Amino acid sequence: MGLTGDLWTFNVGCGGLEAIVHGLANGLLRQEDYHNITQCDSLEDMKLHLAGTDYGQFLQNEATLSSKVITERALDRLVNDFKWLRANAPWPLGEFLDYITYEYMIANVLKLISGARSGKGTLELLQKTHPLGQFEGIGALTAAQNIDDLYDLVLGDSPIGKFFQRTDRTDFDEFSMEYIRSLLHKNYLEHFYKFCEEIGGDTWMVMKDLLEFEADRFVVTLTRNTYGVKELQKDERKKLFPEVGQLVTVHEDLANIDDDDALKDKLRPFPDLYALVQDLSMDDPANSLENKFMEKSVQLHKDSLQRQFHYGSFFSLVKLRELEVNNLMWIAECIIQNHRHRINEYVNIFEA
Amino acid sequence: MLGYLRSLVYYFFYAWVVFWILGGNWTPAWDKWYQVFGEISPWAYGGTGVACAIGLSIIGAAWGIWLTGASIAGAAIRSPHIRSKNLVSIIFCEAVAIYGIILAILMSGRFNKNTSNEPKIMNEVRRAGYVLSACGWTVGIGNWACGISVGAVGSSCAIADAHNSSLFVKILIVEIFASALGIFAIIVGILQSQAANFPKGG
Repeated sequence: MGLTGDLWTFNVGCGGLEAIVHGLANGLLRQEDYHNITQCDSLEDMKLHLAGTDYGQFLQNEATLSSKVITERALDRLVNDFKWLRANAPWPLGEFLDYITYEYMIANVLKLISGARSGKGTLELLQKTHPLGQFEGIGALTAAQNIDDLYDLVLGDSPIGKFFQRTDRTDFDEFSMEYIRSLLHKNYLEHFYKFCEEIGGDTWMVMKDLLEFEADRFVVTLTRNTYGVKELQKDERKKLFPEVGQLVTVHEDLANIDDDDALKDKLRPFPDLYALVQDLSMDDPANSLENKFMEKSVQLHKDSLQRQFHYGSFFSLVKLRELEVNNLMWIAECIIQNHRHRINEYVNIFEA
Repeated sequence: MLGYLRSLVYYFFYAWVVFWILGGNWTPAWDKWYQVFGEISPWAYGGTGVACAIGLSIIGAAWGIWLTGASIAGAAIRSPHIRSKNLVSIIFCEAVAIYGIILAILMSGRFNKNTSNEPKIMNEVRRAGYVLSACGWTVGIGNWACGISVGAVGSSCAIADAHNSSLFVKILIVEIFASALGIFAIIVGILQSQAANFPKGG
């Protein structure tokens, strides 16, 4: 039955909130909305078309329109909805929603750390942090004088301190940002997975598939990005793979490979993952595999929204809304720069 | 699961020990159990039957209303057009409680005062008491299950209606089948309560 109570008793704590999430998911932009927006000639047209969707008058107070403004206001809408849900959520839904934000907090903290390392002005970096990943004390991170202070502040005050547990102080200085980012992401996925397992019930059934796919996607992307990187030892590379996902059994082998053919070979026993990588070649455009992964994850999120009485719909809503904001940003950029031929490269969520 | 089995084994072991100390043998004398249950007054049997009929039906109806009401309240925020149609789900749940009240009134009407000590009359009284008790459990548990079922389907009905209005009628058909279960329960309950004849007398 799990903590959330499944079919019989889920609605006690979270019934209204879950129904609201389904209502918000009905408001995602559909194919004809995207069709209208891509036909726009200017951002004013885009604003007009968006006014007819759930976005409504979200740009009415803006004097000038730019893709940055549109993205920020769209993201504000997502953040407001999320904050309302978080404020009304009972335990364990509240903690589940916090786990969703930890991913953005990690990104923000890493941004500030890289700013501190390269000596760039951290105050302006604070403006660029993702709003979903704000937490108390993020301002204090900008006041840290050096890496040690930053480490103490992050471990001590922030909710994401537990993801730094297994890294040493020295890792911050010596290793590259990418390595730290991968390590934190691995810890985050493992913690989230374990938390969902404790919740149990339908939430666990749904989140298991979603998180396992995220972990496998992370492993494959990491493997491809680190082909032949001499500074990264094979066992260190394996350390970055989360203990989650279908590919756990082949992590040993994946840590040792250095080209695409070996990758395809290793993924052959996993049919759904193999289908995504089988057309891969070394000179592919950089993001075609990423697009395929994105489309598969959109499919998984839509499936999770088809079920009821679980927390996975909250997770899926946040991810799909974020994807929608990225799509709007892409379309706005293409309109401004007049790249009409690339305007249809956004990721489609609903077919007709 | 293993924990439950273990506690069950421990329970029986201690129960046997207690019986041995009290009664002098390992297994309880089964005819003595009949005396214990047989001494319970048939009026008590009848009374708890009525209590189950109304009480468990209300629990089922309330369960169903909370399941479906939470979803209607949430889904109606973005799609206010579902408000009026989905009250039908709530009405189906409420009907379950009404079945319970009808049966409880019918059953309470079967009681007749009788204080005679004749074994023949007392047997009749006992028989009526047992039948009323069974009737109460039938109606109670049947309506409880019906209430939960209607509630769970009603919740999905609200969310599906918010997504696509043409789905409402289709899911309503499922809900109608679910509420038919309550009708089965009260049909059997009515037949049983007709069989409960407390003999009139001094």
